[in-house]
Order: sequence, then C-alpha cells, then structure tokens
Amino acid sequence: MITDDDLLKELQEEKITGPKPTDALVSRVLRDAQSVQAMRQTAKPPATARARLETRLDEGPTLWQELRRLPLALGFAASAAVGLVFGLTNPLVLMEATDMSGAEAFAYADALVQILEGNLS
Amino acid sequence: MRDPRFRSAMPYDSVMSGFDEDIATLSDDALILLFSKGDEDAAAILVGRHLTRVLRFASRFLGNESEAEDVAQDAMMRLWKAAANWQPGRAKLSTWLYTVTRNLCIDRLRQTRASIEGEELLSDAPSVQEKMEAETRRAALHLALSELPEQQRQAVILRHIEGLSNSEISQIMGVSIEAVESSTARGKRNLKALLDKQKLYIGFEE
Repeated sequence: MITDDDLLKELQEEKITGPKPTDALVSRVLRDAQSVQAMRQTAKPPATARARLETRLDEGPTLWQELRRLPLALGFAASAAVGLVFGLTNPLVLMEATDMSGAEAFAYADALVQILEGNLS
Repeated sequence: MRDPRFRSAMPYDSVMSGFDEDIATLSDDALILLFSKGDEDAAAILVGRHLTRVLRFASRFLGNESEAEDVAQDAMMRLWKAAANWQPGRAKLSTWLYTVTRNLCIDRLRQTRASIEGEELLSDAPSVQEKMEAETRRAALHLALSELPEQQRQAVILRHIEGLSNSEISQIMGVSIEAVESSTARGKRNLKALLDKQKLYIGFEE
C-alpha cells in the first residue's frame, strides 16, 4: 500500500526531474518575440508626443521602476514624487531611461510640462 | 541598448547570464513593459524565468514532450502579443502563464481525443499493465497522473508538483478554493489507488 508520504515524495521528485527547454525551443520562442516586436513597430500608428506621453503616464508605477534604474547619484530624487516629475521633464533623463532620441525626449518633456501646467491651473 | 549579442536568439544556458544586474532584477511587470518597447533583453530574461515551468506543466498535463514544446511556444507567443496591453499589478505573470498553458493543453487534449477516438476501438494497443511493465518508475507516475480526471490531474500537478497555493490554483482553474481542495484530495486518493492497482509500480514496499 502506497503511503501519503511516498506519494508526496514521488510528486516532489517529479518537480525536479521535469523536462528542460531545449536550445531549439528557446531560440524559437525568442524568434517569436522578435517577430512580434517587429510587427508592432511596423504597425504602430503615428501618435503625437503628447498622446504617447499620456499613455506612458498611465503606466506610472512601472515607468518609475525604469527611472529607478538611473544613477540616482544625480541627486534629483529628493523624494519619489519630486524625482518622478523632475525626471520626466528632463529630456536628458528621459533619453537615458527610455532610449528615446533627443528630439523625442524633448517633445515628451515639453508635452509633460504642458500637461502639468494644465493640471495645476 | 545593451550587449548586441542578445539581439539574436540565444541558447538556453545563456538566457540567465550576462545581463546587467539592474535589468535582471526587475519585476516581471517591468520586463514586460521593456519588451513592449522593443527591448529583447527583457524577452530573454522572461524566457529564462518562465519557459521551464510552462514547459514542465504542459508536459505533465499532456504526457507528451513534443506537444508540450508546441504548447509552451504558443503560451509564450501569447505573452509577447499581450505585452502591449499588459496591466502592471493586475495579474501575476506566472499565474497568467499557467492559465494560458492550461487552456492550450485542454484544447489540444480535446483535439487529440476527438481524432483518435475511433482508432482506439480498432487498435491493438498494449494494456495499461503491459505499458507499465515497459516503463520506469517515473513513467508509471505519469501514466497514473494521465488517468486521473482532468480537474483532479490539474489540481494535483499545480499543488504538489508546481507547489502553488490553493488560492493561485483557484485563479488558474477558475474554480473556488474549496473545489481546488476537494479536487486535490480526490486526485491524491485516486492516484494512490491507481498506483496500488498497478502491482508493477516498482520501488514501493508492499
């Protein structure tokens, strides 16, 4: 008669001995990822800097995680809130954090300033 | 962007090494966002973190590694496609992937069953007893798992092999926690009965 312990032990061993992805599978999965990215880039409709920035602001918490990757030695982040606003309105910070081009970063920063001014007024 | 060697498909052993420490330690949500922006390093890290569990779950569910690979690839493809609309904090990625994988497995099992149903009646397939004789101890467990009712098999695999909580399993299976507990308990009981029934289940003392 198989005991509960025997059964659980077998199931636990199964956890360790399951299959591992082959290199071929990993390559296929990564190729899929690349093709989805390529399709998305070609299909992306033109958007204004302001609209794109608003979308990104909706993703605030995650964007903040990106900004946390910046060298905080710059000292701009006196607090999370101040740091976020300051970081987003600084084109140089945007360029480093998001791989934007210079023109894009300046457009984003400019659009954010306008939004903030609109929200504050 | 970072190291150009990550721009192309990488072998598995390279997936989890060679990244900047900052990106490798990011949350799944952050990596999905980076991926949706076109960062391939993020894709590779997500693959390193999740492909193994997706593949293993599919393999146990289907009992066929080749089909499990197809399902795993399909599940990851759904992640890539969902990335642009991913809502951070809404769902745990591993739970989402288990759910997608489960659904893909169920679809595949239904297709397979439909296509072989007629053939099985005419085939001269070896009996369960004969199969057991030819299999190893691990294969015997797989066989017993495959004979469990679908709901019980899912519950036992997710609870006792994947090590998920009843709460996570209830999300993945779309049933109540009580139903998960019941399926797990009945699954274990039936699994033991199946293994006991097979006298050739080697390695256990009578």
